[in-house]
Amino acid sequence: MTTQDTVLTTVRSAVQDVAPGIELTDDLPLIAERIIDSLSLLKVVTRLEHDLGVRIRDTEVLPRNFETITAIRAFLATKGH
Amino acid sequence: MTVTEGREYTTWLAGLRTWAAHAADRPDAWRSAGAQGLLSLPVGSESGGAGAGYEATCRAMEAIAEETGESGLPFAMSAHLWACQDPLAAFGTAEQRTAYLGAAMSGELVGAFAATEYDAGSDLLSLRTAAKQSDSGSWSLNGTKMFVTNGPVADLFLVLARTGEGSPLGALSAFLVPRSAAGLTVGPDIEKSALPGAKLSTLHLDDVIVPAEACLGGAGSGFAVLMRAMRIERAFILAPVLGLMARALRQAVEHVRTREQGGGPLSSHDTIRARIVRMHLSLTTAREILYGTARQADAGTLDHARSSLTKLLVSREFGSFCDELSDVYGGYALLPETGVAQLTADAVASRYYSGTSDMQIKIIAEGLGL
Repeated sequence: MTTQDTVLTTVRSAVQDVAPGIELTDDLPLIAERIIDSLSLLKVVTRLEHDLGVRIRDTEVLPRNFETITAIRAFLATKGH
Repeated sequence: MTVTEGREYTTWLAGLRTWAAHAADRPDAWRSAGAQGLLSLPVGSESGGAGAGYEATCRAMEAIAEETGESGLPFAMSAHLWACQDPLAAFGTAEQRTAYLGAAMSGELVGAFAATEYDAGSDLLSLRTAAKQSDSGSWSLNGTKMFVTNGPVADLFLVLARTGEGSPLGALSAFLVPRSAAGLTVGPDIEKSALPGAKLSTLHLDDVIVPAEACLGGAGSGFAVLMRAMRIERAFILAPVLGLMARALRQAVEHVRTREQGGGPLSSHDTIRARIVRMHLSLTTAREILYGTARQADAGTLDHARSSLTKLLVSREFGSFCDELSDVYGGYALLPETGVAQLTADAVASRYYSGTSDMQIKIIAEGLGL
């Protein structure tokens, strides 16, 4: 398994953790479909920071960075993960 | 050595205490405080601030409250700093910072965060104030905000508005709206039992037109702006409370040492001594937690759960402190000159502003993975 796959696995796990019972796909619109709310978004951010050792700034908690699992993965790639 | 341990800061803080004791109740207090560098403390040097950090700023707020014994001015300044100036520094473009940040740090401009609405309460994501963008790019804002701290005196409002449909996570935006904007009306001072000196009002927006450049962080960034403001404000809005508790504890010790009852001073009674010690415990606990949180923020590691824990714990210790304080004074607690009833009202209020205690518990629970 590559490093990239590990990061993607972590992202999927973090999102699934706040969306129990929902069948997720990487391109499912998490915000538009209201799968994640304000508190669960913060939980995802905290989980990613903890598990990946990445710092996500307040100015980066934007819808475009967290709209889908794919978007989250791409956002993390811009931070070197 | 941290900033707050340095000679330059401690000397400056001593000067601030002297100012607070003699000049903090004057009409020009904001400008006077700004001239001393108080309001630029937390802003980074790259943005023209002192770059002293959150701990240094909180210690200054504690000092002002302790010297004046008044919650109003430091609370108003805290609201300005944490919910308006700090988001402006974090999200602002170079043009926005040039337009407002310097004036905010100098005390020439008072900021207010207009987020809460009548039907939304602490659930800021349910708000109804809306902004619509025209073809030219300008925005038209309509709605009413409640409980706007600094509203009656604010020169600049940071207004949270809905700019789209669907989840509020992507449909909120924040706007920098000057008081002079046509269609903006500030309601009268709201009378309240707590926090005298901190002005509170409603804010009405009736087709208020602002240019595209007034949007802070870009359209759709409202949630991020809100979370930034709340994470910092919840952590530090109660810093002045530490000074109020320290002053009240000092006065209570003096009271029990000098007031005689039952053939000796009150301080010789074990029950009174225990109450004073419990007040000391509350102050020490609150202080340790708040400054530990400030050091986390200065290190860039402060998360929402810790911020909420700080707000919850300090407000609870403040309440416990006031319960003991009231029992130390007995019936005298009801006399205005003791300040006990006012302090108790402030303690009750601290459970509700910047998110209720129940809201903080919810955030802390999420942080625990519940």
